[in-house]
Amino acid sequence: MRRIKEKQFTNQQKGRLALAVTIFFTLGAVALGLTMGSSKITLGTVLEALLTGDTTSAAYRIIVHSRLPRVLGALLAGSAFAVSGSILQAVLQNPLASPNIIGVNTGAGLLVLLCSAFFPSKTALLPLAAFLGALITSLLIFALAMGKGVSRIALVLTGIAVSSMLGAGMNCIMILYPDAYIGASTFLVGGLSTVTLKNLEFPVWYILVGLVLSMVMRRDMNIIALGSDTARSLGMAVGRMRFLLVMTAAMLAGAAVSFAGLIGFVGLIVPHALRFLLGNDNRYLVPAGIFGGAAFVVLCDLLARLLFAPYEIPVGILLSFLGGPFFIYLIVHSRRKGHD
Amino acid sequence: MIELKHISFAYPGAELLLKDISVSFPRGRITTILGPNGSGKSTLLRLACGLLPPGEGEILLQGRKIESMKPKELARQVAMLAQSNQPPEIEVGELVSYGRYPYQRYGQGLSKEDICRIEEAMERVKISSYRHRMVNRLSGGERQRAYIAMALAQDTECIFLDEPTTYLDIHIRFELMGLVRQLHQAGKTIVMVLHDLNLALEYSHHIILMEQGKIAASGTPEEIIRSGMLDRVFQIKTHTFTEEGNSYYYFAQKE
Repeated sequence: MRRIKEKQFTNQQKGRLALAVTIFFTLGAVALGLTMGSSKITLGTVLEALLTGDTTSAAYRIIVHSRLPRVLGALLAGSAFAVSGSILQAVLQNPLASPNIIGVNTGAGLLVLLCSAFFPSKTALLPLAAFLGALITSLLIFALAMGKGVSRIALVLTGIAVSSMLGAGMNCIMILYPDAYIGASTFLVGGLSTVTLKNLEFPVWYILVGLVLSMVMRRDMNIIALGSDTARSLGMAVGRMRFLLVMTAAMLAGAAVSFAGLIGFVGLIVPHALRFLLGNDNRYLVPAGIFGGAAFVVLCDLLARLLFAPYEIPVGILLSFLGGPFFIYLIVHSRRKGHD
Repeated sequence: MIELKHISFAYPGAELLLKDISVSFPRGRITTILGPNGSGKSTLLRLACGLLPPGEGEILLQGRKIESMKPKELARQVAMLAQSNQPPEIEVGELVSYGRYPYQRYGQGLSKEDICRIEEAMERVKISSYRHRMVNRLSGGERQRAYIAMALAQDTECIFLDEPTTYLDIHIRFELMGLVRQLHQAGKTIVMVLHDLNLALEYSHHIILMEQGKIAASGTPEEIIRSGMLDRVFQIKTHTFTEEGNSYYYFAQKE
């Protein structure tokens, strides 16, 4: 027994291992995402097309105009949603919190549609609008969560209620402005089929800044998870730090929603899957989440493309099939542990 | 020394919980705040270490208003072991290292001195051997040791403890109080809230007895017993036994 204990990994070793494994999976997922599809293209051809830049070749057109934007979009959205979920779970001290469950994605979606309806030519405004929508919803939910006696399940129910209201707003806009958003139905379930490199031009910066901020604040996330009194007694300005973290989570989720639509459950599945290995140490969860989320969404998107080929389903539908049962499992597990 | 002057406090939307309290916690002593449930003892403790802003009155630390101090500046002088939360899923060594947070610049790693203090703190409470164990998998006593090590790493003159013995087995309670005594011997000022009257009377130099948001009595354990206030506030009858110069107490229901 003692021998086994001595051989156990420290959390730092597990963190490094998880990072290496998720990076490996991300690279593998990118390779598969670029090569697999209705027409199979070898990795050599992909590299040749990208390096030579021969715009007349069919491989180049497929890679640059279809698969590359999609894979890049999946990488960015996956990282953004996974890290946003980790942050919200730490700040709200609620394992059930994730951007889609508590209404953050819907808040972002509503402002994206509003922006598309009223300023159709200003695509640069979309990530900003999504960020603001996500931030306002996050702060609303956060204010409710900080109220006395709000249980974890009550918070989730509040999020669902807020989501329903915001969803109704989105439906109104789509009825009143049917041309507001091209591919609005894909937007509602979340999908990457319409993503172009131009769509990613602005959100990529929001996501990169959000990921850097979350890496910088990952130790603070651990301290906040110790409870407000302990964090304050360690000299943390808790209110300010919570606001910064919520803002970062909103920036990440909002930017991802602005091009990928209402993709759900990534922020729930990825952090929890990594927690099985790493515990709740955000110093390792955040970097592993960046790559784990990226690999997960690229692979799910590939599956959504290939599962019913020649037809494809939006990745958001596949994620709802996976995420729904996982969410129910978490609720049951949470109740058993007496967290409700 | 921490002084509270004419402190009144109410939680938002609730009735006044503390009413015009003036009290000081003597330097280098173990002070325990006692009182029935709802008497405001934990609130008084949280106010005294700056976790709550006072509604009225002022709180002075070495003569300075604590509201005027920056959070990290205050945290370099006062450490607080809060009532137990959901235990974190992080390693013991990592938890103890958070005690150095008040000394770190933002984004800065641990300095040599930080590492030295962390090691000292873990040595002192004898948890060095399980630094890589997860805090949520420790027993109640081991977990409290880990939190005390974090407070020690904070290297403050005052340590506040809010009901540190709750939910612990009786032998662990004694072990923990032994640790508190060690902290006092190392020159720390200790202020704590306890429910256990025996432990409070045995291990404290100074007792503050609270009743309905006011201080009912204040003094050494012997003075508090002699005044009869403990019996009145808790509605009990205290019997004292003396053996080899030590006093022991037995509490019975008031007839």
